[in-house]
Amino acid sequence: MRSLTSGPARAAACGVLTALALIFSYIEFLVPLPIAIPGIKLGLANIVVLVCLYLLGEKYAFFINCTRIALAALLFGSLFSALYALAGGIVSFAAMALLKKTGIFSVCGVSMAGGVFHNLAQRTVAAFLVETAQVYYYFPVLLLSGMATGIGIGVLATLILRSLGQNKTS
Amino acid sequence: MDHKTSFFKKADIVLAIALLLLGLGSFLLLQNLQKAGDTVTVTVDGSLYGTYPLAEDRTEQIVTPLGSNTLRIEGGRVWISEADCPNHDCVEKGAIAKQGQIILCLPHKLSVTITEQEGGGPDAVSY
Repeated sequence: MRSLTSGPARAAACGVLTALALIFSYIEFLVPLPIAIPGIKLGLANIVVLVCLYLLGEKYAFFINCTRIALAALLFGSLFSALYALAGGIVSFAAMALLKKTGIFSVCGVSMAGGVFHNLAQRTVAAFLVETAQVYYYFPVLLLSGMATGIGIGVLATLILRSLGQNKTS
Repeated sequence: MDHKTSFFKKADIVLAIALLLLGLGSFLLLQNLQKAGDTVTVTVDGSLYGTYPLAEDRTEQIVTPLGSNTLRIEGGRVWISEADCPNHDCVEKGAIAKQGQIILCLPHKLSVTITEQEGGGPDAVSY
């Protein structure tokens, strides 16, 4: 990944990664999980965000994440889905970036926390929008599902980072 | 940086335990925060069928186009005591007593929720 040091190369990488993240969002939109509880999803796009976080740094990962969410909302979402996605995206990103900075957690650990904070933020937005604490009833379930999917996504991101050979260059 | 050499580190386990404790804590907190609610709201196929005060013991026969269920309210709890649906999920669900809890009878498109008199829950929640 030495080639990603130049500006144009980074810009190109950002474009490709944003497109990839958008495709993952679209796949999840097309194929919802057969689970009755709203809010449980895999978070495939987070693979891209994680890989980018470790390869290119916070700034680029944040940019890619926000662009992905905005484009997804424009293409196949709604104003409400954008609000939920943005809250989940930004809060989970902040949690992941902070945990990554400490340097003591693995990619899986960072991703796990990202999954949990994503769900936590979405619940909080839902609570404000519908003005009831009722939406928190599922939170323990969503916390566990966020951990599980976060770990799964983290394992995938670890494998990708390994095969990109980041070990040798960093 | 050795973040790619292993899938998990010790700190991850600490983090996982912390998150699980957060979940357990929030679960216990929610159990206590749940408002009692005072009204039993019955809907059939999405439209309101009737509301009944939770404080008043009664037995109500709910007849839907798809079948009938017997609603029982007693001692601040509500449950479906009998139903002619094929799976009897609604009967097996047992009694509910707190606001926001719900009994569903999917074959009859029937839902029984506990609400507050004046408020009413969200019309729709989109994620």
